[in-house]
Amino acid sequence: MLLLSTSINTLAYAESTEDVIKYRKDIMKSLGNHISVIAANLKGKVSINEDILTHSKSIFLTFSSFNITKTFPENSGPSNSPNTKSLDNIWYEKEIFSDAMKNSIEKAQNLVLAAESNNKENIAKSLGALGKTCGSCHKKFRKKKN
Amino acid sequence: MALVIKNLEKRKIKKFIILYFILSLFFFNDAVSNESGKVLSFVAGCYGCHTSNPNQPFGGGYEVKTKYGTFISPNISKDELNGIGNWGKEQFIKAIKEGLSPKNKPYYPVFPYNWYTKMKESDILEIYDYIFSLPAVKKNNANHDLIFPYNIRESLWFWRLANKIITNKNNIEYNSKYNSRGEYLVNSVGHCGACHAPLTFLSIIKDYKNLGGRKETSKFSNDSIPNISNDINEGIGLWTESDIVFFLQTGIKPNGDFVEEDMALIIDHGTKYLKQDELQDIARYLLKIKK
Repeated sequence: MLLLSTSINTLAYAESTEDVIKYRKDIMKSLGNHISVIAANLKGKVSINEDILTHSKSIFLTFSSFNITKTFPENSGPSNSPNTKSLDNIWYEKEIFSDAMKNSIEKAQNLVLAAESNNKENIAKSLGALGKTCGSCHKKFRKKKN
Repeated sequence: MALVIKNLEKRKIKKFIILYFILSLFFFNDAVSNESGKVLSFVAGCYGCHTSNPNQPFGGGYEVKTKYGTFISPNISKDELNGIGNWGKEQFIKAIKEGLSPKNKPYYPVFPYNWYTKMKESDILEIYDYIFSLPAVKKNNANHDLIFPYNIRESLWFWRLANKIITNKNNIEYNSKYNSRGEYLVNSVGHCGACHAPLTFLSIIKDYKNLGGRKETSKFSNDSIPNISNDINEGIGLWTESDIVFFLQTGIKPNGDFVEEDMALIIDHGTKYLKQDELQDIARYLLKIKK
């Protein structure tokens, strides 16, 4: 009985770890998709310019409502699952990670302001600046792609 | 009397206007030249590789980790003691095109002179003028931290010979003329192949125009540099011209992800300063390259 209970707990725990990993990957993908939508307008691939502001706001909302503790809980790192690219220093250097997130919120806010101004050059610059914060965070906290 | 003074003032004003015109012409040309030199020095990687502190441009100290150990870039500001303040233009051209110091010491190929060989001398001199227009950085040079036998600089003569033999043997199109500004920027000034071309024996590059990527695993570095040929599966064959241009301006890939590692620096300190038509030319050239 004890063995069965332990197995169920382990299974439940394993699912929860994988679920939260998938969940945060979905958030990151959604951010990437919003960026892609804005970029498609800036590149002139489509001309649905009103979407730039909508998706800029979505990026800002996603970043500003991001719950680090729940989205990156303890025991959801690379030693707990092979399916995450998160590096251990997310949990060792919590303050730096949190500051990086704050920086992204600030840059996302600038993107919204640029989108409101409707100036494509400014939007591209703001999007680039936001991307830079994503890149520097990935460099420090995400396993490099092979 | 009043008429004399008036004429005198008129003459003075005339002289002043002529002098102002000549001086402004001189300074205006200088500014244009420096701006162009600045962009070239960024795209060629001079700034990115020789700057570890933005307040000390070209002061050196930037670390490049490789399987041979860590290279630390030297000071190339106009400081006479540690930098290149004593170098003339000829010496600067020789260093860039031949990879040799004024005292004929060979440079390690981490300095991509093999790509700069075909750089226009006028472009090299624009970079020289730009570097010399900035303040000298009084900063000592650090020694490279390399493993044996690569720490012996004289061994580079052997490498240079091997490089020459292999280069000739494989009939590299390395000395061909560039067909477009994009090709010139990719294969010479921008030296894309320095990272993206596959390496062979002793890190010699078989084909300077092959941008098929490489993997480097050692105790010093673990690098995977992507294929940027037009291969649909492994390269950037599915990217469009505007995707490449936008990427080289912002670092954002078509899937919305941001570029990683050193390429972020190359964009930030280099390609984003290029003109739109130059970037389009680069994109057109890259989309033609087969793996």
